[in-house]
Amino acid sequence: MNHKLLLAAILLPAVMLTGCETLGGQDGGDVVVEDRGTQVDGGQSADGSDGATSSGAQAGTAFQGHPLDNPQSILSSRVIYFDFDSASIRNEDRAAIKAHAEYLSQHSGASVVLEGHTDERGSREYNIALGERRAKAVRQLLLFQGAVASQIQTVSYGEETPAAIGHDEDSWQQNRRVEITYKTR
Amino acid sequence: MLAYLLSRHTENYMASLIRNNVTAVVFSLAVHALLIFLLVASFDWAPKPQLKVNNPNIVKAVAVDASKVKAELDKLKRAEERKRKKDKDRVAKLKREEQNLKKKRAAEEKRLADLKKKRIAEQKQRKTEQENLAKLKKQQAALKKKQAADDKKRKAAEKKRQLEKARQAKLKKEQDAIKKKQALAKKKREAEKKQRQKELAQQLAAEEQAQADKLAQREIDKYQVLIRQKIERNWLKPPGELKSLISIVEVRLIPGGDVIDVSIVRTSGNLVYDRSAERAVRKASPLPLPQDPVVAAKLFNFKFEFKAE
Amino acid sequence: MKSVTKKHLGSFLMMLALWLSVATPASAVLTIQITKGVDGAQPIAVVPFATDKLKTALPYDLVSIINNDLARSGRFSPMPAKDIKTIGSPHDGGTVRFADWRLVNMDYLLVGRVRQTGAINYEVQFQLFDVFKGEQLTGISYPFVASDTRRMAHRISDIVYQKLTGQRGAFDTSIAYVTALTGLNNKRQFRLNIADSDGFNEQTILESSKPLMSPSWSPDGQQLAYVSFEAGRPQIFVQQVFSANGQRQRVTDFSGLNGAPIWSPDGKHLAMTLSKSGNPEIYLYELATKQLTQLTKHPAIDTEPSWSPDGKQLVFTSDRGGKAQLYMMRLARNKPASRPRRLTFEGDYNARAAFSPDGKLLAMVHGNRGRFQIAVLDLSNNTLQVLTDSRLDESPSFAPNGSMIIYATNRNNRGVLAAVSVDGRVHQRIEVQQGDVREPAWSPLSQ
Repeated sequence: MNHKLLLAAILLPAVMLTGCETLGGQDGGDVVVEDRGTQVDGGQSADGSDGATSSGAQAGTAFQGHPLDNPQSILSSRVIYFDFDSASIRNEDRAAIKAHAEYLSQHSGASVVLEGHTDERGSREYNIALGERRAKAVRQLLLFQGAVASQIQTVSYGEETPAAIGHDEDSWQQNRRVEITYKTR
Repeated sequence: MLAYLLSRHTENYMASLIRNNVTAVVFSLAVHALLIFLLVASFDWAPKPQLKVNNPNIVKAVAVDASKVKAELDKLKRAEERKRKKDKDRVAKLKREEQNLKKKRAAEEKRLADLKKKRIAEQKQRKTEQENLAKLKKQQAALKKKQAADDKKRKAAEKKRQLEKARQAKLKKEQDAIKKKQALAKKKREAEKKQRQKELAQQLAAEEQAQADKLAQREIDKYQVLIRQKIERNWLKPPGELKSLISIVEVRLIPGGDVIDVSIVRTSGNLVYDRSAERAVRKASPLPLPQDPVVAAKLFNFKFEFKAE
Repeated sequence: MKSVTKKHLGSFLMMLALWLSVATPASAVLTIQITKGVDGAQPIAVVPFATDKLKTALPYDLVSIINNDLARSGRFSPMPAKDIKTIGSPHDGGTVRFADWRLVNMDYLLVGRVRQTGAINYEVQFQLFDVFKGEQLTGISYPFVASDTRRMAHRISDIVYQKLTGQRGAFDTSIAYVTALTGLNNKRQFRLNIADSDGFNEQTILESSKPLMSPSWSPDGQQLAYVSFEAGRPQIFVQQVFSANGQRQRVTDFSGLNGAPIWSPDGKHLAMTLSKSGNPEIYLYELATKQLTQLTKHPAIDTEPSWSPDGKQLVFTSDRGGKAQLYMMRLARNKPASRPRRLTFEGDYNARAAFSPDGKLLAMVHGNRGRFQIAVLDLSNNTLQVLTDSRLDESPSFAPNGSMIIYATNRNNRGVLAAVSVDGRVHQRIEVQQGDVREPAWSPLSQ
C-alpha cells in the first residue's frame, strides 16, 4: 500500500507536468482579449456602460483585433458537429471550414490541431477511430481548400472528453464534434 | 344196459388205473421183460467152471545142465504157479459171478413173485371194485334219476325263481337307474348351483378387486403427482445448458414416506447435475404417501428420471 | 444336420427373447419424470469460524468475505448470520448436527476455526459438508499471514465454489479499471486502478489529467498494457502491476492512433490498432523484438482485436461493411492472416469482442435500435443471446473461469461496473468507490 502511494507521488507530478501542455493554450492575445471583455456578448450594443464601449461596438467599424479573436468572424466558429456514427461534414459547416482553410493558406505560420470526439454510445476504441475519422474529414476539406498538410494535426479523444455529460440526444449531439484549435497563428 | 354200463365203467376204471399209473405199468413191464431175458440168459448158458489142467510140456530127456534144468524147472514151476493162480482167480471170479447171478435171480424171482402177488391182489381188488362200482353205478343211476327229476323240478323252480329274480333285479336296476339319474341330476344341479355361486362370488370379488385396484391406481396417480411436485419444488437446477442431461435416481421409502436410500442408477455424465437430482430427493423427504398401507407399499421402491426441459 | 441346427437356433432365440422380456424387472419399476425445477442459488450456511482464542484479531472477518463472494457469484444463497446463530455454532465435523441444518433447508455447511501460530501468522482449518447426505466434502488447513487475510478468504471461496459447482472459482483474482473523476474547476482526473474481484483494496497504479484507456492484463497477471493520452496523443504503455517500483515502458508512439492493446495468450505479442498507414488497422507487435506486422489492410476502421485462447484467431471490430461489426481472421506463423470473415449479423452494431476463456463464446457490445447491451455469441452454433437489459453497456470482460462477464454501464448518471452470468440468469452490481468507473478488465487466475 505504501509503495503504491510513493509511486503515485512520484508519477503524479511527472504526469501533471507532461499533461500540462494544453493544446488550446493561447499566446500573445491575452491583453487584447481583456480589453474586449464587454464585447463577449457578441456584438450587442452595451447597456449603460462607458461611452467608449458604445462607440466602439457598432457594426460597420472594423474589428481591431486578431481575426481569429473576432467573435463575429466566421473563424470564431471552431466546432464542427456530426450526425451519429457519421463523419460527413454538414453543409452548414462548410463555410466555416473554408474560412479556416483560407486563413491557414494565408498565414503559413499558422497551424491547427483538429480534435475528434464522439458521443458516449458504442465502444470506446471504436469511438477513438470514429473521432479520428471526423477530424480527418475536416482536415481533408481544409487541405482541399488551401491549407497545407504540415499546418494540420489531428488527434482523437473519442468519447473520453465529452463537452456535455448528459445521457440524452441533446448532450450526445454536443459531443459528436471536431474542435479546431489554433496552435500557432 | 347195466352190464354195458358196468363194463364201460370197469374199462373206464382200468383205463383210468392205467392212466394213473402209467409209469409203474411201463416199468413193471420192462422189468418183467428184463427178468425174462435174464432168466433165459442165465439158464445154463454160462459154462460151468471146470478145472482145466494144462497139458504139461512133455519133457524130452535131454542132457541138460542141472542148473539149467533147475532153472527150467523153476521156470516151469513158476509158470505153473502162475497158471494155477490165474485159474484160481478165474474160478473165484466165476464163482463170484455165479453167486451174483444167483442172487440176482433170486431177487428177481422174488420180485416177480411179489409182482404176481400184487397183480393177483390187484385183480382181486379190481374185481371188488368193479362190483362196488357196479353197485355204485346202480345207486348212482337211481340217484341220478331222482336227481334228474329233482333237478328238473328244481330247475323249473329255479328258473322261475331266476326269472322272478331277474325281473326283480331288472326292476331294481331300473329303479336304481332312475335313482341314480335323479341323484346325478340333483348333483349336477347342485354342482351348477355351486358353480354359479362360485362364479358370482368370483365375479363379485373380481369387481371389488378391480374397484379397489382402480381406487388404488387413482391414489397412486394422485400421489405420483404430489411426489413429483414436491421433488420439483426442491430441485435446484444447476445453471448452464441442461438439455439432453438425464439422471435416473432410484429411491426406497419406508412407511411414512422417509427416503432411506437414494442412488443414481444412470448418470447424466454431469456430476453436478447428478448431485442436484440426488439432493432434490433427499430434501423432499419424507415424500407424501397414500393412507392405505397396502396402496402405499406400491410406492416404496421406484425411480425418478430427471430430465430438465 | 443343418436343418436341425436351424430348428434349435430358432427355439433358442425364442427362449432368449422370452427370458429377456421377463428378466428385466427394472423396466417394470415405476418411474416418475421430473422435468421442472427451481432456478436459483444453492442455500449454504457458513458458520462463523472459531477465532476466540486468537491473541491478535484478524484484520478482516473471513466468513463475511466468503459469504460475499459466494453470493456475488449468483450461484449461492448464504444464510444470514443472525439465522445461523439460532441453529448452532459448530466449528468442526464432530459437533455438527445435520438434522438441524436440514430443517432449515441448507444444502451445504461450511465450518472452521482459526488459530494463531506466530505474531502475524495464522492457520485456518475448514470443513465443507453436504447436509442432506450427511457427509464431508472436503476439509483443509492453510497457513497465512495477517496481511493476506482477504486473499485467504477468497481462496476458501474458490475451493468451496469448485467443490460444489465443478468449476474453478475466480474469487482470488483482481480487476483493473479506469476511474474518471471531476475535481474542482471541472478539472478531470483519470486513474488506472486495480482492486480485488470484490472491489476491495483499490490501488491506483497510474494517475493522469489526460485520458487513460483499454487496460489489458498479461497472461501471467503481472503487467497491464494500456493507452495513455498524457503526451496529448494516444500512446501504448506496459506497466508492472505488483512490483515495488511499478516499472513502466512506452511501447508505441506512432502518428495517429495507438490503441486497443491486447496481450497474446503466450505473452509475447501485443495486438493493437495503429492508424499510421492512413486509417486504423490491426497490427501485431512483438515485445522482445519490437517488430511490427500489419494484419489488416482495408480503408475501413479496423480496431479492438481480441485473441482466442489458443492464440490462433483474432476477432476485431470493423465497419468495412458499412457499420461496426465483428470479424474474425486466422493467424499462422510466417503466413499472412486469413481474409477476415464476418461473424455478426444481428442488430445494427457489434463491437468490442471478448473471447471466453474456453474459446467457445464471444461477448460483445451489441447495438440494436438505439440500445447498447452486452450480448454473447455462441461460436459453435452462431446463436446470439443478449444478456443485459440496460441501454449504455460497454467493455465486456470474462471472468477467468468463464462463469461471469463484468462490464461497464450507467446508473444514476454515473459510470458503474456490473456483472452478469454467462447464461444471463444472475445479475450483479459492483460497489463503486467514487467517480465514473469504466473499462473493467478481469485478471487471469492466480498462478
